[in-house]
Amino acid sequence: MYESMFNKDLMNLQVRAKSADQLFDFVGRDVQEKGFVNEGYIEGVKEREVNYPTGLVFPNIELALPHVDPQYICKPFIYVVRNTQSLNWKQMGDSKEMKACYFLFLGIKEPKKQVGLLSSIIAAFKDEIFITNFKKVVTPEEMIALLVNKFVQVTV
Amino acid sequence: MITILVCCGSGVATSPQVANKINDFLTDKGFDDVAQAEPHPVETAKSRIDSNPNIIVYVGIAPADDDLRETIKANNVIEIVGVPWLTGIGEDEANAKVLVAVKAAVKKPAQ
Repeated sequence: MYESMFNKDLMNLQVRAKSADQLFDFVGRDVQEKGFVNEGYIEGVKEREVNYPTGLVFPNIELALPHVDPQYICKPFIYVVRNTQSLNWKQMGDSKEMKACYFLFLGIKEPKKQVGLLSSIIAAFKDEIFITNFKKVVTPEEMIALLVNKFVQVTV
Repeated sequence: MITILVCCGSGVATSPQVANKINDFLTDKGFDDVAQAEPHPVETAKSRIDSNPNIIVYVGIAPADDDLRETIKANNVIEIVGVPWLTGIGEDEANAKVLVAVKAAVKKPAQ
């Protein structure tokens, strides 16, 4: 079931956004064109990130998990981004400054069903070996293989 | 039931993660029959704290605004930042704070 949330078309490991705003526009337009979100998504996700930042500083990686209320989501998805430069971001909880170049945009449609996946994602980013591999990945195909392997393993 | 209120922006994504972790911890320590963590959207936090005297801890993943902070203070609720349960950094300390609060509340007569 989770396997279908990772999709080769929903990842970009060479995004050249220069700001958070540019990143939201780029990813937002892409998921909108592919039919995963409705029209309000881009504004919705931007606004939510301002009010409730999603950056997390793990021991071995910094990343953000932008997400928005289910009303903007048509089909659940996880969109994986590596930006070519680190962007200024804010941390979840206390809004402290941080930098991140990895982003997992979470399209949560049915919160109850996707809560298990979220906890596996969070657990994965505490796993040093997984993070080493995650940072090494070059192609979307390798990324899919890594993610599906990791998350199907832990959720089955 | 002693209640630990866990709030994020929507109550659907990160707060259930944190609430599950706190509940696992409470089970581990044998307090799951007297205390539980509940995830909710942060917009509902103020009215929940005002109306439910069993809420003794507020775990915030979304920053509390001044209004909410005042309510937390006025009701003698202990505020704990929820991010350690997500990243693992400082999780033991955060769990210890919950345990202290729950133990203190258990000693008081039931409300």
